[in-house]
Amino acid sequence: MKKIIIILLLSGLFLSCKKTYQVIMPDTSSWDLFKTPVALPLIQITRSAMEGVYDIPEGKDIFGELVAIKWSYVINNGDTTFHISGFFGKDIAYFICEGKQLNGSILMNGYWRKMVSTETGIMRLTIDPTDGASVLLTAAPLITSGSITINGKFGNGQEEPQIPITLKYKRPLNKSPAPFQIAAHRSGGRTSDLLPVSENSVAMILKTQEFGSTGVEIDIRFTRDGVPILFHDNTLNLRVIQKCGLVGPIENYTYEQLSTFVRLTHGEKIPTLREALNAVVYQTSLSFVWLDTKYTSSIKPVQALQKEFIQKAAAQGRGLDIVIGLPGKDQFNQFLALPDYTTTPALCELSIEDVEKINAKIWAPRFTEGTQNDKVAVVHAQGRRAFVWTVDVPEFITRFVNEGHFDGILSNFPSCVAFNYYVHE
Amino acid sequence: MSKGVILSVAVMAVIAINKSFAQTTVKTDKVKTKKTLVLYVGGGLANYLAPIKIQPVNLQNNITRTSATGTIRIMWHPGYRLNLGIESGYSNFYSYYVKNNGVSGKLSLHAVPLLLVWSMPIIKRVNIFYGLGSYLLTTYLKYDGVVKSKTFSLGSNIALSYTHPLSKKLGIAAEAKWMNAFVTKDNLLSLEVQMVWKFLEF
Repeated sequence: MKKIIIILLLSGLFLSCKKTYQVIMPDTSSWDLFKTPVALPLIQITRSAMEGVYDIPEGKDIFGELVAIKWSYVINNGDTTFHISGFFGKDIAYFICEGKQLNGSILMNGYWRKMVSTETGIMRLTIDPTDGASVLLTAAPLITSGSITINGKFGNGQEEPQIPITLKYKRPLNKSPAPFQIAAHRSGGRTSDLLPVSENSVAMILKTQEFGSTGVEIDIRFTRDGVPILFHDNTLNLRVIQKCGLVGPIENYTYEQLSTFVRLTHGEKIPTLREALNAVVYQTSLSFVWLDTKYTSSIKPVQALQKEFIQKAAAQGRGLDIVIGLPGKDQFNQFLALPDYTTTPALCELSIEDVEKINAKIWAPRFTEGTQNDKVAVVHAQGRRAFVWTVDVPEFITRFVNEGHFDGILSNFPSCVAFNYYVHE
Repeated sequence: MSKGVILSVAVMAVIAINKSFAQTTVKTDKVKTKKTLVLYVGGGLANYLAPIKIQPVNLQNNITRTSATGTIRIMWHPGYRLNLGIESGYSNFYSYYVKNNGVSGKLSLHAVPLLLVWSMPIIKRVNIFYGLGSYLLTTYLKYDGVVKSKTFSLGSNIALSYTHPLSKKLGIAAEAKWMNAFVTKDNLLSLEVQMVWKFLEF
């Protein structure tokens, strides 16, 4: 009997699995009022006037005291889609909605999510004419503290929203220091954070502004036939791709092989660097791209694409910085081998002396070194900028925004950086 | 590695320690136990159990999940109930053909286990085996060129074996084995016939 118990115990332990977490995005299409054909899109003046820091008189126990509200857009096949995002101060929560106007009211329909857990649900918000919509819908809205009240309800998961929430306009969004880059890691967010699209995909690049990003860091590797692609890890693995039978270093495969057999976690193809930069330039308003160098071979092919897309962005009238990230000495030496390295925009993670040597535009130390305000001042005095990476703990993000003098923060939680930056006084 | 695996190893270790203490008592009674090395060599059929999601080429029906498998294992029988050994072998996890824009190709994923194995008899002639270690996985891809790419995945196996003695040193065994590569989430169930040879006794 004892043996059987031991065997059963062992078998049970052997067969036991790790708990799998998942976030099931709620279906937000059930609000009939929002779907009515007479509901109209909001105009740019209204959208801009709605942006600001809002108090949360009702719902603060779930989302905190304040929310920073900002609009973003993406262009798909010539159509522009606008999203309003609210970045909360508690549990790295945010909401993402679409907005319309109907009979003098403003309606917002979407979902909320907490990044510290798998909590999510439907969010429906309304600004009645008497709560500020009549002012917002004028040609020149004059917004003051308390002049906009957003009322709404949210729910958990797919349930109908029942829990009330109220947001009251407090002040405009902070914009100092400017420009400040909210740079999102892995093209906008990690797959492991259970986002609806995969890291280092074009879909993530198109999504990340909804999370508050103004820039992206993307990880570059080369395929066997020399195509620069976006991929973070050393090897193909189930953290980032679906099971397909391909294993080992991604550099073992040609782009055609990867394109045919491999799909990222949410079904996207591994994008080429060209596809990614194309999306940034022509489909988003992102103003910063950090090309993180995950390879030690020649930087020339990436430099050529960098030049091409800086020119394309300029032709579009876009203020877009594309910098080559240099995380280590190997990449630094490859960069030095470029004939025109002093005029090639770069971000250097090494010492300030190295930054000076290659005339990098940006110095980017690791967050564990602290705020380093004295060194940042030196870099600023040289006409360069300083970014810090990769800051994910909310308390650290708050400290870097409030006490540091950096010009940008790289994070896996851009919504948390956005909250801290926009509410900073 | 999952908590379950760590706990199972811990339980195994506790059993081993208990048994060694128990044997200490036996040794004081001056009973000399014979130590043997036993070789298991065999083969059979295996079926890949884990789900495969090959979205790009959508060839779920063309995936070959059943294939031949082989095992080689050397066990040290110290004369106690718990035996220790090493195991390797060869399995084809799965393979499939593709045709994309007129170009044909084939992909197959193979595995070579490299495991430390414990075993113990549970009833007469029936042994349970538990292996823990790594699987060396190899992709063979023939499409737009040929690629042979390798990676390691932590893994384990558990097997139940019935051995029928043919002579004092030889036996034939039937074994059911479940192989699990944790990291790559590959599972295989195999049924094998094995020759069991007690090749060294001291």
